[in-house]
Amino acid sequence: MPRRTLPLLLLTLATACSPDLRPDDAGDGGAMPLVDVPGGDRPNAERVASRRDGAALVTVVDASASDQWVYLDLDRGEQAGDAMAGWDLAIQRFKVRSNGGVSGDGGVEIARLAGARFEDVIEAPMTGWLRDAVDGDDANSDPDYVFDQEGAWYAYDPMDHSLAPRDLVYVVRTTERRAVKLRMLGYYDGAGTSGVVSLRWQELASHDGGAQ
Amino acid sequence: MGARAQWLGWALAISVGGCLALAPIAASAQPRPPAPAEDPEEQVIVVTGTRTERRLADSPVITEVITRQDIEASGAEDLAAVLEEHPGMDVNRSSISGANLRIQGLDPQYVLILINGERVGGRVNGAVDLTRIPVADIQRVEIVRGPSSALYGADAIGGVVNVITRRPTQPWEAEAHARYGMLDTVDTSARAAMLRGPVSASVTAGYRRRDAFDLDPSNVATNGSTYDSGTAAGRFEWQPSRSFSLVASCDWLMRHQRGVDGGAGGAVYDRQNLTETLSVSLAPEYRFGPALASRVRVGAWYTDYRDQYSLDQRNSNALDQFQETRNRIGQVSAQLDHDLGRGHLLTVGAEGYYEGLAADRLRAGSGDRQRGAVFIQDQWTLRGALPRLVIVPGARLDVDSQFGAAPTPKLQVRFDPHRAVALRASYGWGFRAPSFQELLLSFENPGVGYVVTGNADLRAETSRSVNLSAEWRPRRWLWLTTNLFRNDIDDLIDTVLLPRANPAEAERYTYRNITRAWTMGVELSARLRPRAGVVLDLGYTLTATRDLTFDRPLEGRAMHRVNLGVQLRHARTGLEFSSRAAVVGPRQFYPTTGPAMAPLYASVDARAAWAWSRHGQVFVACDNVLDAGDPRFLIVPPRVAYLGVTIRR
Repeated sequence: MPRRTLPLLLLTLATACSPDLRPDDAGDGGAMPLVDVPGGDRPNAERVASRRDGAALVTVVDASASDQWVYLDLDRGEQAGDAMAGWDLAIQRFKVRSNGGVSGDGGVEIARLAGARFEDVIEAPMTGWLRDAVDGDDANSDPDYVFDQEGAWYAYDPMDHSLAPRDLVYVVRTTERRAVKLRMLGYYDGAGTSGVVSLRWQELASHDGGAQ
Repeated sequence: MGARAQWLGWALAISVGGCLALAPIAASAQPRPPAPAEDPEEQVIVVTGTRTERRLADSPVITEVITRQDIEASGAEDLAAVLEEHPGMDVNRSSISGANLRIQGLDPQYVLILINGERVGGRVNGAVDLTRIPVADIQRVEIVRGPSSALYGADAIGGVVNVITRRPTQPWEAEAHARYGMLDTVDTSARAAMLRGPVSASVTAGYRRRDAFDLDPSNVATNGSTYDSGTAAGRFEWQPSRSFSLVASCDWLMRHQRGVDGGAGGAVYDRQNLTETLSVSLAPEYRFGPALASRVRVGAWYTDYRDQYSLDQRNSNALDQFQETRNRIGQVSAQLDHDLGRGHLLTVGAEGYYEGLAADRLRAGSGDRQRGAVFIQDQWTLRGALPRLVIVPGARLDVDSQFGAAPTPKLQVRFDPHRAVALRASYGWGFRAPSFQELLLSFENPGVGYVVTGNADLRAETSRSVNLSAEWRPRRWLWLTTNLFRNDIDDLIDTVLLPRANPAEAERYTYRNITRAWTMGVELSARLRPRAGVVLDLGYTLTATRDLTFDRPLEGRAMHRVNLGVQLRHARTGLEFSSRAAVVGPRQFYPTTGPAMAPLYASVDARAAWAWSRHGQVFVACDNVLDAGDPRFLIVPPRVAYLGVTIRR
């Protein structure tokens, strides 16, 4: 009995004395075992927040869930958020798809304006409209989203594995045939959490009807 | 938190109390310390190369010994610091997993770390963190390069490092040691031991701490973690007769590390590791036969290792992590060494091994394995007089619950054509089983931005190794050795970067059996004792490696490495000076941004001490005098100066 008791006693003593490093859920200390970010049942609207920035809106989309798309309805202005019907863009992590082409039947088209200043874009372009297309000859198996075509909306830095938006302005022709100019602002929130996409956007005054 | 502080407080109190208690003894004693034995190698008994006790000079297997005196002269406080000053020992430090060891160009998972012949548990990424093992209780460190799987089984491909703990030699012994330095570094330890008749016992306790360091001030991330570490060890030996002894031991360690990691997008994480280890062992031994040259030794030991890892994202909890790892290892062994006469010393043995791992990082949450092994070895002295010839054939068979059977034969030959010359050759097989992590891991590090997943289809690695060595002692004050080695490894397991569907995804690594790789080279060393109190060490290692899958050198190995050491001791005044330097050539790395060559670097440590009596010594030391280090390829603490005292009776 004593021979067995001593090691057990020592083991118990050692383990009982050790503190638990598991952070509690208070404040920012909540911890979750993170292998893949779960989407959960969080409503779409809770993942989208907008604020006015002059004539434009800045919308922050928590698209950090790797198994859930967050839908935006640009036609609804500040109400963009919880709208499966009539959605224009959907974001999941760094992927952005549009409700047109292979991704949807809403007829959404997008023009990509490289090097343009957001303030200088005052009308929709006559040409250059693109739609989400079937997967082409590339490394991934996703459809060729417009936001990935001709160079993705982000630049990847292999040094620190970070994403930064490219100098691009997109013009989105929405499901209601409005024209919206849009610029991606970032991929991280203030704490550095990835998948939190911020974008600045504003409806253009006129629209020529596009390529259709 | 309170409990931890209490334990650490006790350790500190023991250390400081020990110093204070011994101070009057140290102050009153007058004799100067005796000059060290000028030829300690002749006297040292080594056990690692053959699993039997042999005089170092007679060992059929070339064994390097770092003595207690060497350790004290170096100023090292843990096993990592002891080894990194030794020729050919490639100690690598990292901000998270401490320090580990490469030998002969082979990664830490191919190096077996033992304490008193028993495996050290709690490998992280296949490596034992050498900073976990403080020097306070170390009598000597034995190093055997090349494969020893025929005696020790898995992992002993590149070499074996066996830490031998101190045993009392006086009726009463007491020692206290304290050191304080930059980075708020505190190293304290106290040891008490007794030897009375058939009973000897010792108790050692220690406390260590150091602040984090940052080699890249442009960001908030730290490169070395703050740590607090408490240790305690107790050993008991009962030897009622010359033929029987019983040794029991218990070791405990708790270490808390804290650091700051930076991640993509400006994320900042507060990282913590809390590691606890408890080991207990029991080893009765019975000697018999003429001159008690035969013996039976039975051993049982158990190690419980627990690690908590916490990553707390600042201003958010989106990327927080908590992971716990529990590793339990138990082993029983029986070994018979029998003098058969006519020059044969036969060793036969059997081992049973159990390992269980429970970890959040494992896909299944836990796993276990069992292994049984038998081994046999014959130390056959064909000719005892000069020219002397000893042949040591041996073989071991391991049967593992995961990968099946692994036979590992080995043949060693020692030939002494002259009294001053010993030639040795060995050829042996080795193996390493895939670890639980390699098989079953699922781990994401959002701070750095990578994901590692295990591969259940991995096979055990196997190796074939040749070592040829020559030892020449032309004068009593000069000792020269050279060793040529070649290791061929099949089914080498290494991490590989998987192709990504999109560059924005985290890097995904997994483990693969790379078809084949080799390492080869030459190790040269010289030890000179030109006069009393002067020891000079010189070492050079050339290591060539090849990853035959990618047809390129293995990552992080320096082809050239030079070690220099000097110890000066003036017996009359009690003054000592020692310095160690290492010059390490360029090293190739393969980060995702493309191949990069880390430049040559030199590291120098220096220490000066004054022993005012044989009971007390004060010292001043400086590690990394040249302030080497860079945040990408050489994460070592910056230049740090210390002041300390050691008191003993």
